[in-house]
Amino acid sequence: MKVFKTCNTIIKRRITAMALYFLIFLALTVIMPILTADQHTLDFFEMKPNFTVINRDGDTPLSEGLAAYLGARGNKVVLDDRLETLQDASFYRATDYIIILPQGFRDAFFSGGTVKIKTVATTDSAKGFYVDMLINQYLNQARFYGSPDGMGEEALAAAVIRDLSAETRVETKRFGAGAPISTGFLIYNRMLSYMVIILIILCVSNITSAFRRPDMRMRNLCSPLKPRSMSLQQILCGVLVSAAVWVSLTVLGFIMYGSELAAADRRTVGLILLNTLVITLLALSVASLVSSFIRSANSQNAAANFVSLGLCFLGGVFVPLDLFGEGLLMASRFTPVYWYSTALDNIFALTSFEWGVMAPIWQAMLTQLIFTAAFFCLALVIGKHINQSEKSFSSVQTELDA
Amino acid sequence: MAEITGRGPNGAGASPVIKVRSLVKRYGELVALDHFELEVRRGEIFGLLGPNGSGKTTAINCMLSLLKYGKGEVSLFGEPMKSDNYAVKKRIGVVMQNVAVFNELTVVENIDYFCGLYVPEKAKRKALTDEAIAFTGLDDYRKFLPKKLSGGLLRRLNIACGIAHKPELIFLDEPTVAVDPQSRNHILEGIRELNRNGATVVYTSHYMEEVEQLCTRIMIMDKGKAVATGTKEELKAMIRTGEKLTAEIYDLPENVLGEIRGVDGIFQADYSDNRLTARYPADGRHMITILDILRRGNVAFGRVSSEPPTLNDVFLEITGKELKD
Amino acid sequence: MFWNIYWKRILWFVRNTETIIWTWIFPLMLATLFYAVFTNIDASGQFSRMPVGVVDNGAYRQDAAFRAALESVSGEGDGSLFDLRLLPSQGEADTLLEKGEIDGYILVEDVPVLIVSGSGLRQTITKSFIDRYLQTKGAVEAVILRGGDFESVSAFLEPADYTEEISLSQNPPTEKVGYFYALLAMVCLYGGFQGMTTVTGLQANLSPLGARRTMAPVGRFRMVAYDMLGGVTTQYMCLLVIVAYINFVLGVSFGPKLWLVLLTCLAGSLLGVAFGAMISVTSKLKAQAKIAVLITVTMVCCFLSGLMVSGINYTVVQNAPAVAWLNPAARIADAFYCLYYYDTYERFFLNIGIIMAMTTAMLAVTAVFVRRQRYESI
Repeated sequence: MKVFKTCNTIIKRRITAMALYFLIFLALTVIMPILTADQHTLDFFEMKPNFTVINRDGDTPLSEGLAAYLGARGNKVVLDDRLETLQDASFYRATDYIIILPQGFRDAFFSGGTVKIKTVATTDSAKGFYVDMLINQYLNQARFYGSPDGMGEEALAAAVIRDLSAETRVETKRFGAGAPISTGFLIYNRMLSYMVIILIILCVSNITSAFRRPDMRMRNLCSPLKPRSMSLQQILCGVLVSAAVWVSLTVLGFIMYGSELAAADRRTVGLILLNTLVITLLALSVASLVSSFIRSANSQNAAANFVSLGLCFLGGVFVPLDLFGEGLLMASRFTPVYWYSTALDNIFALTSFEWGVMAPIWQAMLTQLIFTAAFFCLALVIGKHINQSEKSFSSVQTELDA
Repeated sequence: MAEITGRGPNGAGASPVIKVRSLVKRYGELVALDHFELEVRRGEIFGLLGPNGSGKTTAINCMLSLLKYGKGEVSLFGEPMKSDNYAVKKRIGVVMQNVAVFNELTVVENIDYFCGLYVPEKAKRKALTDEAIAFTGLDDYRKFLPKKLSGGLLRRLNIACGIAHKPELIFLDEPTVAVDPQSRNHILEGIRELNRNGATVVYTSHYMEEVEQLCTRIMIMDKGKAVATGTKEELKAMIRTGEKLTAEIYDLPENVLGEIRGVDGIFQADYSDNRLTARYPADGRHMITILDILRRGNVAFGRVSSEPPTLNDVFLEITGKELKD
Repeated sequence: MFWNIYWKRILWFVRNTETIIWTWIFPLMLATLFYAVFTNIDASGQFSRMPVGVVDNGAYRQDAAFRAALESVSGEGDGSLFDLRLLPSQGEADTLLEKGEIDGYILVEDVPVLIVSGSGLRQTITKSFIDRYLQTKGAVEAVILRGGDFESVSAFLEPADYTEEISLSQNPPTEKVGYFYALLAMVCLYGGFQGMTTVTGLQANLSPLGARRTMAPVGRFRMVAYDMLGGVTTQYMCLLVIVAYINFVLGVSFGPKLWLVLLTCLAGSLLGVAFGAMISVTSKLKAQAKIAVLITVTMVCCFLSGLMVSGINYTVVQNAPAVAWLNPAARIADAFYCLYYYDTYERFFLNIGIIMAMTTAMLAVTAVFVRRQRYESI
């Protein structure tokens, strides 16, 4: 167990770097779900589109009525009437719909003219379609009263809103088992896969890089220890690090979402934890594989970032899988994080604990474990191969950390 | 190397090239240099000899102004040495203990790079680079990357990078560590060649034979202090040992050893590992006295040899410990 | 002298195969991956026909007006809202709803009721459609009760369209480009490793090579500047290759002013190199810790500039403008964004100004440390 002990010493010596990785990525794990909560969750939230009214026609009862009517059905986002402000807001989807009431709109409206409201929305977006629908409904209703001469404009606007207050009764049927689990926790767990992967790759490669230097490698090979045993002991140290990562992220999750999970079914929460444990193991296997290729600090950094980002983008962590094209979806099935996301989505959509419903979840977890085993085997084989190849020797350390 | 021959060995004894006055350097509690004094004259090959950790490298790094020091003065070429004294730096060549070359540059590119830091003119630099390559015998390896070179060749490259610009003063900090005998001889011969062409050399080593062969003057260091300075003859004259006798003896009775120890003038006699060693001033008669005593005591002995003292003996007598590792 | 130091530094990089692979090939691979993943991203939230069921009971069959209204917006065609399914019983409807095959179903009793299993945009639109039917029906009934004329009623039968969509910018807003711009910002900050190499290879207390080079009779600043310029050049080459790939191969637009894109890349490279140099001058941290600082700072900055989730940068600007303005990655990404999206260049040059100011500040800090050439220990 000498190698294992040495690994632990290396951790102690490089504790600053390790602590930094932990702190920063744990902090990111806390921030990320908060900042992303409303992204790409098409079918989960009470639908209230964000809209902005830019009124260039002056305040009139008609425009105020429109704003009030929309305000009851969406969230009003106040923006200055500056081109850049509007551009930014629409580019970053801070507002889904900008309504620009042009000058003279009210007069033209009541005199039967055709001054149209200018609108800015993402082309063909459902939200845009919805707000369009609401505006036309309001104005068509107003048109019905003709001119405001008889009743006064304010009364007209009030009448329109009253007319439009008729609502359909909506019943919601719940088919799921137990209370639904909060979306925040879903996003947290989705992001968690990225954190786990990058954190474990960084930490593990940091430790093993000490053994990868050619002279160290040659020296180690002269010892009676088998290369496989050497690799396994390094992996064992990785297990320690991974356990630390998993425990901290799990505890963090409970601290942040514990109250929301209180009512949830214990079995569902258990499945989620099991799934994160599986991805942690997977991350360790990826880290073992990746770190066999890493020789310098420079490549350590790049490898950790690109491997983790690549796997997570392909696995639907940052961009939901529904947006993937057919071909890409096929390709991403051959990457491990896809199966993590799939299992996670299925757990969150869980309606019962029957075998038929559970099967896809078990299948997805099993697939992750198969990937894990494959990566470990590959890491061992490559470790052996690299240790024997002539190329990995014959290199002399002539610069610090070269 | 022709241009500075004017300041050849015959210039020795002129104004000192290096002058160090009571230099003190501490690393926390540890005193690495304790009022260190040094004077190196033009044209010398000056050896700094001492065991590991005696302060040789620290002394050199202080002289080069790479290290801060608490107290003391360093002047090179009569000018105080400061880290931004580029006029002085231009006249110095440094060969560090660690190989300091770019892994990614070939032999010729490395030499060209370091030479280029001193000599901006391209044509001149090319000539100097070629000369340095020929000088260090790296001609067959011009296009090799450092990691393809053997340890000895790498050391030679390290030296080539330090001397290609023909400095007047060269610091060589243990340049022969881990070098095979051929390469070592090649390197030592090269250093003599540099010196013949006018360069003053400061050379550190813990191989006493090397220093003895090469250096015109030697300083023995221990614990950050100069223990003794002089030519090797002067150093050897400093100690009582004039000759050292070694005899292979299978069994030496205690009383015979006692008798040898009692001889006037023999100040040390030891018996261990079937070997008798005795030290005495060089006057030629003690050896016969010892052999007489052995014969009278009926002690059978094998090979007997007598040799003049080495620097190791000097070090041993002054500090009471062996210089060798 | 300049060419010697500068050119050898570039050679150093080019010969370092491993670094090349990680710093060149992988951004290219990631860009390709982005391209594959984001091809459809702008389709997110796009409107498509919704599968909605209606229970085909007696009440529904009798309500001809509602049936007509529903059928007018169902089926194929442009104005179509629903993919309407007639379902024989409520039980059947519940089954389909549970399986998620329909977004919801309508049950007509005395009035139409909408039954859904969750709340979302599609359910809201369906509800809104029924609302509109009920409101219109109420209004028409009111008109008829008041004995209104046909003309008033026709307002409802032929609703007018009062909206007209316009575009605010030369190029359409698209989430896709933001990811690529943030990726470029990340590559810029990777220049930190170039800066770190320069400083480590020049400081006597950080490497033997540094000690040897400190002994050269070359002014300290000149030495650092030439070497760093070599680092900037290699970083710039790297960026150019990636920009060219993203623009010409992947077809991601950078707006009409290509030379300003090149300027942004240059400013970004300078910033990245200066950043790495600043972090590596201190000898307090070990090499590994410095790298950790470099990596984590880079990743946090990139995250906040929208590398993982687009729009985060906007959220940060809204809630913590100071953080956004001080985030180098956000400034670089924003400069690209301005070129793509704006018609004017004030904010672009403001970004470039901030990038240059940060670079200057970082170089100043580096200079203070680099000036020193004598150390307590090596």
